Amino acid sequence: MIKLQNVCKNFGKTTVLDDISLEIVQGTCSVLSGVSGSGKSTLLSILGAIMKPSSGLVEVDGLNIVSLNDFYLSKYRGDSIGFVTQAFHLFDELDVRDNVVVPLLLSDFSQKEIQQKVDTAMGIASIEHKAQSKVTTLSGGEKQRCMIARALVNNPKIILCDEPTANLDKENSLKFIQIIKELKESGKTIMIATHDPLISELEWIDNIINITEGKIE
Amino acid sequence: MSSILLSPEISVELFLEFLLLFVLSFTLLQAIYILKYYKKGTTTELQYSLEKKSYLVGVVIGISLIIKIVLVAFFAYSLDELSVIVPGAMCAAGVVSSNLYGEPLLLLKLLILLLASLWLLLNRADVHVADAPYFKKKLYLFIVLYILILLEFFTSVNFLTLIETQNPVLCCSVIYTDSSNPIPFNMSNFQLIILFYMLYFVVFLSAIYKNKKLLFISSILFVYISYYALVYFFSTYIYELPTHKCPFGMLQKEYYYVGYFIYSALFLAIFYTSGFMLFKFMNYAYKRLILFFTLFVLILSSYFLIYIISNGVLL
Repeated sequence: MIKLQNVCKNFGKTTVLDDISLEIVQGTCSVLSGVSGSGKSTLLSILGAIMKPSSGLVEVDGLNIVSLNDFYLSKYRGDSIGFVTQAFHLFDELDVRDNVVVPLLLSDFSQKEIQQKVDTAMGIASIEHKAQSKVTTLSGGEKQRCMIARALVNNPKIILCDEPTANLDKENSLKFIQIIKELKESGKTIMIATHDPLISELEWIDNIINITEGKIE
Repeated sequence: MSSILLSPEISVELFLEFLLLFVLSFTLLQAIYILKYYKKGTTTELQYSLEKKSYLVGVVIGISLIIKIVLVAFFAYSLDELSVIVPGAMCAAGVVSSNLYGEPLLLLKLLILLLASLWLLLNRADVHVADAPYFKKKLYLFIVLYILILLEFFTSVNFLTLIETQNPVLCCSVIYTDSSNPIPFNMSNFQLIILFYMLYFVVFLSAIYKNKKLLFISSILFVYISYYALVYFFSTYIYELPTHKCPFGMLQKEYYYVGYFIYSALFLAIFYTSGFMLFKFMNYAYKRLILFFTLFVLILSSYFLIYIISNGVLL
């Protein structure tokens, strides 16, 4: 369960999020919609513990993540969150497998366990056939699937997607949607910030949260 | 006065001490502000800004205390270097006893060393637990440390400005002063050494059986007796000279800086003993305190044994 209560975020005198309160149940898929600059990405960053709110409660499974110290925040991000963004943020010098393995580099898992986790994540994201290919040789859709595999490799409970289909054509967007649907069915909590109607009009989406000028409508 | 303050070691020492005091004074104000307004569990803007600030305060205190710990060793080295310009002083012992502030300053530095190490430990434990259980304790400990550091700074300035460079100081008091027995309870050297090893044995057993009360009493007694055993018995075997009874000479190059190892082992033993007794999260420390007390005893005993084996006589 994710619970936000009276969350505000200010950058100087600019209020980006204003008194946001919402609850998201485990295993659901929610879409955050709104025009550019409405505060969708900021809200996702707060949920992903990349950014702290100026005030308010952000509770994940009963724990206020805002008050966690850096050591535990890193652990929370590493264990519980998977990020998929519109800019791919992949390491061009590495191949797909090495990109996917990055979140596990500082883990305590054995080499064998790491290999299994990487294979599973690449299987879910349907990118295993490109495991040895350099990122620079991949298409946009393949890069996106590589990123999904990297987001899943830690088996996180929550997956946050920020405009995931913004750089994809329709065919690749549909492939992405199919992967997200399967993840939802496997019990993951998913939040997607998007204005892509392909996603927001899907019937299996549980919540559509409209944000306008930092407030939920 | 000027020749003391102009010596490179002392200038560096004083400059760094002043810089640390300056930084820690600002940090103290922040720490007091945080303690005043920090309310765990609230979700206000002020609380979150205090949580952020407390992280920075923790980092600044941590780095400052690490530098402080290094400076204690540097202070010992600087005193030794000063013995060249203080008439009558053969090592740091002569410099320390050159005025009234020397010994209190040394004790203050040792106390700060111990408390600073414990603060670093507390901070480490605090940041590795989700709800920061030692948050307020470590800030209160910092306030105590700050008062001691302030006191130490002014004692340092007094000590260094009043060091006598014209009249000779007494260095090896054992040679020049009256012949009354300086060992507590008028013990002989033999009794002192028997007590030294017996107390070590009690410390060892109380740590093994995790008997904190017995460990507390026996370790205090052991450290107290160790000082006399080191100065009045073992040091003569380190220097191989029956008349040279000095706690500082062993820090010099001539004795391969062995004093730094001896005092470090004793300090780490005291540190782990304090941690073991004060903090639950340091239950593992009993093994380390045994290790460092044993190391301390072994280094001292080895000098005694090597001398006996090589020369066949006692000093």
